[in-house]
Amino acid sequence: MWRVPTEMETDPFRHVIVDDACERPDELLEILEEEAVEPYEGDIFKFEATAPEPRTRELRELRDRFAAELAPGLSDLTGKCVIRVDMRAYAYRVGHYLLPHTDHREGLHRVLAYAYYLPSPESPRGGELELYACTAANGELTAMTSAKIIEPRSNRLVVFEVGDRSLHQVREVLSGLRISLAGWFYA
Amino acid sequence: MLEQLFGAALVVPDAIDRDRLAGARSRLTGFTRYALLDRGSYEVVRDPAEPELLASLVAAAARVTGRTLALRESRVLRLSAGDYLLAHHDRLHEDNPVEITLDLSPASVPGAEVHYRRRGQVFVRFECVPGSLCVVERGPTVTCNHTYISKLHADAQVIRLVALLG
Repeated sequence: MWRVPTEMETDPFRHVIVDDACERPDELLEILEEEAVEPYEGDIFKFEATAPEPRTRELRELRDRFAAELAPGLSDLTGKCVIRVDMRAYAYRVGHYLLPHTDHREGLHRVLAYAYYLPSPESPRGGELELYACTAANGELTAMTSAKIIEPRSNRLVVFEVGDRSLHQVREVLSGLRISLAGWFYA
Repeated sequence: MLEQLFGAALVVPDAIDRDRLAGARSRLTGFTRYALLDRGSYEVVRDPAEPELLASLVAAAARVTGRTLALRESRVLRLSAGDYLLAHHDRLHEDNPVEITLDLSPASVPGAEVHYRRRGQVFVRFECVPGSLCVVERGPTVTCNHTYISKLHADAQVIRLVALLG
């Protein structure tokens, strides 16, 4: 069901972009129809998302199949053994965003982050994934510059390494709707 | 009077008149941009030369809190579309100072707010309304962030005079 990536880009940090990532993307939307989304807002984010743990059997099965098909190839590609994955669906509507941050959290064992962009009834303007090149000292980021902007194209999968310098953001959606599946691969 | 609780807060609408507001805004110069993006994106003037305005705000804060207060530090923040200050960029205060924020913006900007949180929960939402004043007693668990300014308001400009009193 999922295309397994075979090479990674390294700049500004290791990541891979896979277009036509899923054989049957329309089936994914059907799976999500029964999964409720709730609004979430914090100082760095504003979006709608499903619960951290899928409520429906269908989404749990999709998550597990995603992990089973992609984890072995990603482990080979990165040299880091990943096994488990979590998965939530996100809806970024007009004015929604996720400001620059890293996903690294001590003790959580997140190895790779991913986002898969679903077909949208109204393609988004904005909502790009922006990656930054960073320098750091004493565990704090001391400078950053925008290094890559990845459009949220339908049926595109983006995977990138989680680290204390893998700064990224989801730029504000200015029109349309950005729908994605996202989460992390864990060691 | 504020409740005698750490983290108590009050918003005073029309704390200063429009002419005084415009005068203070016109005197602001020397902004520098802060751009450690995992913490904030904004322009700042530290220790603005506004002794009379600050003195009147300190007096107002002393009246509403019932405390004897003096100015410790002040800065003016200017946020444009796409700017923000995260809670991660804020300092915690153990000695319960009072923080005042005067909105010097030329016009209201929808959704542009200052949030004060206690243990992660927002207990004050200070909207962008020119001339309004927010007074917050900063207990040791109180954090502050300035919300993201939407790019849908491309010409928006949010200007806030922030002072810490103790």
